Parts: sequence; C-alpha cells; structure tokens
Amino acid sequence: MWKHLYDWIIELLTGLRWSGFLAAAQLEDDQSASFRELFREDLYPAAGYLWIAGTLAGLLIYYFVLNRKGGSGYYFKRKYWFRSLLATGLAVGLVTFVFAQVKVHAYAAVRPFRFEAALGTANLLYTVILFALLSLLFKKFSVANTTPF
Amino acid sequence: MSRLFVFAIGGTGARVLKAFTMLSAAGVQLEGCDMVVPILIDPHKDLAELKDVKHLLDLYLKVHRPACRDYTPDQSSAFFRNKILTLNEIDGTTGTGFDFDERIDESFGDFIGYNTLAEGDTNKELIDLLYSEQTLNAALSVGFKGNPNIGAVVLNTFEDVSWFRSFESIFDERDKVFIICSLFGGTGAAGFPLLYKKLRSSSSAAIRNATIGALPVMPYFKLNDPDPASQHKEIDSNNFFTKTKSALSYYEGHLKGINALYYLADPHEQSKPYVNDEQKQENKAHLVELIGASALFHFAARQPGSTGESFFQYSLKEDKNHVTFYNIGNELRDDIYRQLTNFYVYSKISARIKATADAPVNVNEGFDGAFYRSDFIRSLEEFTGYFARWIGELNENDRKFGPFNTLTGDSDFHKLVIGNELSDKALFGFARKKFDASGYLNQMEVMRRRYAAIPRENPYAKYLAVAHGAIDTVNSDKFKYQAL
Repeated sequence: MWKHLYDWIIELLTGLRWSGFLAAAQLEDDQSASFRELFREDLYPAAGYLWIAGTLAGLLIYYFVLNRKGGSGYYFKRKYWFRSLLATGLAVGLVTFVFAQVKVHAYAAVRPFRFEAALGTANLLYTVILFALLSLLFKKFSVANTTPF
Repeated sequence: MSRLFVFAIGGTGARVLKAFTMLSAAGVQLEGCDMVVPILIDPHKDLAELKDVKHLLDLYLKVHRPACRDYTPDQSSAFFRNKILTLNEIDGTTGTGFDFDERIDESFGDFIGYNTLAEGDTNKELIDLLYSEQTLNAALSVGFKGNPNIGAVVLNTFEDVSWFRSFESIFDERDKVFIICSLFGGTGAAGFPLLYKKLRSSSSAAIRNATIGALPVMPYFKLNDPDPASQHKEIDSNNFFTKTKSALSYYEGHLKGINALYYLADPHEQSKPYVNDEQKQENKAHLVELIGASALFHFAARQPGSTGESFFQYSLKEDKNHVTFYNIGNELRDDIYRQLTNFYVYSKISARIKATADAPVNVNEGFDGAFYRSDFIRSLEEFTGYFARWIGELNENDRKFGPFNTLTGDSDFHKLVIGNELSDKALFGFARKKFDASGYLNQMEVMRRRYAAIPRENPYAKYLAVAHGAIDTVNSDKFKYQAL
C-alpha cells in the first residue's frame, strides 16, 4: 500500500526512476536491492504512519486545544486554520525528512538526498490534503464548526 | 396576573425609575409581580432627566418586546426579562408613553386665576398672605422649584384627569402600587400625599384596599448657593433638611396606612455640589437612586393584599466614599452583583460580537449585517450606551458607586471588578492568561446549542439568551459569584 502511495510521487519529485538512480549510483546488485527495499519496507511505512499521526495531532490541536470549549482567542478565524494546516504539513515533512536522513545514513556515499527530500515533501503535501479533508469531519465536534467553511 | 403600578413623581422619581430600568435590563429579577406599569408625574416636561427616562423606557420596550415575544427566558437573571408595560397597553384609551399630565405654560398666579381677581377681593388678599409675588410669578413649565406649597395646588387634579380614571378602572385586587418621590423638592413632596390620599379614597375598592408602598427620598445631594439675580437658579439646598422635617411631620399625622415605607438619604456632605439650575438639573446619577430602585424590587415581592405598616431603612456595610460590591451591603450585593457585572461586560463586548462576522455563533445563527442593523440591535446598542454612561456617572459623585474599573477595555477583564481582581499569570508567571472578549464569543457558540429550542424566527430572543448565558457562565467561573 505504501509503495503505491509514495513511489510515484518520489519519482515525480526527483524526476528520476529508481532504476535510473540505482544504475547511476553504481552500487553492487545486492546493495541496490537493499537500498530500494529500505525505502519500500522501512521508510515508506514509517512516513505513512508519521503522515497520519501528524495530521491527526495537528487537527486535534487546532480543533480541540486552540478552539477548546471555554477557551479564549479568535482561532476560529480562517487564517489560523491555514497557519495550522501549513505548520502541521511542515512539521510532518521535516520530521519525515530527518527520519529518512538518519535511516539512509549508511548509503550517504550515493547521495540519496533528493530521495529524502522528496519523501519529506511528499508527506508535506499529503498532510495538507488530509488535514483539509478531515477538517470537514473534525469541525462538527468543535467550537470552530464554521472553519474552514 | 399581578401588576405593580409605579408612580414616579418629580425629578427624583424619574431618576429612581431610571435606575430601576437599568437594573431590570441587567437582569435583576422582579419577584411577586408579573409586570410593572410606570407612570411619570412631572409638569417639568423639558427636564432632561424626564426625557431621558421616557426614552430609556421606550428603548427597554423595543428590546424586551421582540425578545420576549412567545418566549420567556428560563434564567432568572436574563437580560431584559422583567415585563414593563405602558398604561395604554392595558386599557387602550390613555395616550402612548409613560406620562400623561399636561405641560403647563403659565405662571402659578395665572394657574390659580389670581390675575383675574379684582383688587380688594378677599380671595386675592388670602392668596397674598399665602404666597409671595415671586411664587405667584413662578413659571410652572420648570416645575415647582422646590416649593411643595405650589405643587400641592397644581397637582390636586387627579380626579379630573382621564388617565387616572382609566387606572382606577383597570386596577384589581392582585395589583399593587409604589410611589417614588423626594421630600425636599417641590413636585414629589406635594404630589406624594395628594396621590396617596386620592388612592385611599378612590371609588375603586381594589385601590382603597391595595398594598401601597412608598419611597420618599430624603436629601442626598446639595446645590451651589442660589443666585436670586438669575432665572432658574433659586433653589436653596440649605433648606432641604428643613423641608424634609416639615414634610415628615405632616406625614406622621396625616399619612397613615402606607403598607411599606422606605426611608433613604445620604447625610454625607458633598464637597462638589451640583450646579443650581432647575431648568436643566444636570445632576449625575447617584448611589441613592440605585438603592432606591432596589426598594422597588423589595416591595414587589410582598403579597398583594398585605396589610399593616412596615418601615425600612438602608445603611451601607461601611461608610465609605467609594462604594463597591464589597461594602454596599450583603443583601443588595447579592441582588445586583452578578447582574450588573454581566450587563456591564455585555456593554463592553457587544461591539466586538458585532464586528466578528466570522464568529461561529454569528455564522450559525444568521446574525448577519441585516440583523445587526435591525431596530432591535440599534435600540439595544443605544440602551447599553445609556447604561455605560450611568455606571460612569455613579462613579463620579462624591459618594461614588464604583464597582468596576471603567478603564478596562474589552481585552483585560482580570481587573474589571474592584475588590475581585484576578491574576493574569500562567505557567508559573512565564505566560499571561487571556481574559478578553474572545472567551465570551467562544462560549456563545457553546451556549447556542443549549438554546436550540428557541425558534429561528425569533433571532432576538436567541441573541439575548446566548449572549447572557455565555457571559453568565464565564463570569461565574472567573469571578466566583457563588463564593461571596
């Protein structure tokens, strides 16, 4: 599942298919396979869980902490929703990127930076989309029930 | 349905009635009566205070009527809950408004026909004995200038006027009467005994036997020394106590059977006298008027048909120049603390509620531009403007009633209630707790669901209920009313 979610967008963002990257990296066959499997078996699921957990956390904070019953502040205004959306996206994207960097450290010689950045960017975009979609559900149970619309 | 007919005589009557209207708007509950019918008696039709209270009552009705149409607020301290009616709404024959006596554009001498009497006429000579030339030339359009001997003649016409006959015809045994006046002026001191005697000798048995209360206010302010060379600056406040003693001596012997008599005065000598101008009488609102209004609420709770005489006095918990909720007296404090604080907060945040068009409560309830331009909201805004000024005036007298920090905007309510200032520190002093209009606005969205039963066709009732409910909930939590 995660492979289908991330493979295409990483290849799109890097402008490079896996086969092309691995050929250019001139890794041994077994090293190529393990590098690719690291992404598919390790990084993709972790990124997926980070994406979902991070988005849920951002939504809970926005709708039930900032806009809690009996709270103060004008956080129901759309500008704060946008800021929360962007902040959540950036946070998830950044954590994903750093996590990927740590995990792929052993392959630093092949400079996998663009893939790490692409994975972080993919999670940023997915977070923004999921945050916006789930807002339609979360808002019903919150004081900020007219945000974003 | 029991009604309380309130006769407010003269300037002091108008002022106490104004305070009553303010307390009613704030949500002080009227117990024992279903409605109040105010009747103003004052020939001084140009008096700003009289115009003010009439306009204020009109505004009250413009808010109360649409908000309470087909809906009775469930909270006893709800804004504008008390029902106030005009006499015309009950009998349909009197004129609109709250005062029915005519303006008199002649001198006292003309009024009694002095100038038509021939020289040597014994009636003329008798009048010369009783009244000075100055008194006979006094213009009645500015009232009686502190002369009850004029008022006693001019006001002795109740049986001849149609509004009084209408009042007599609609009064029944469930109703009560309350009279508000001063003893040191002209209109009240004269009008009170005349009216009372007229009531006790009425052709209506219900009125003769009615439970009647009265608040004859004794001196509570003084004026600059009179200037005989000037017009309308002749009242001598040094005579106030003498006039009061004289009136009380008369009442002791001739005014029996008042079921509840409320004595109220402020012997505190004002260091800043009011300006002596009986045409304008621009005296600031005074604590005595507010306490006087509480007498009305106290009397309203009495059972109709109560007999016997009761006498009441009021004293402050502490004799201080600066009176707050904490030294005004516990019983009165318990009646007004919550309500005045709630309404004062409303007066502070109403503009913010209106300005925040994207607030969930405004969006969900349809409180849009058209709603906020309605007559209801305009009347409510005007009323709260009067209320804020009234609170400000109470705080400016020598004996000031200053329960609120009036410099607080809508963003720092920690310091709102004097004597109950809240800490604004959080996280061990590293952060600041917010207590501003936003908290009330957010709470209004929570309250909206509690009042879901109010139909959408009555947005006015919903608006007042939600605003009051939110403010009361937040204030109860922050200011801990129940802990007093």
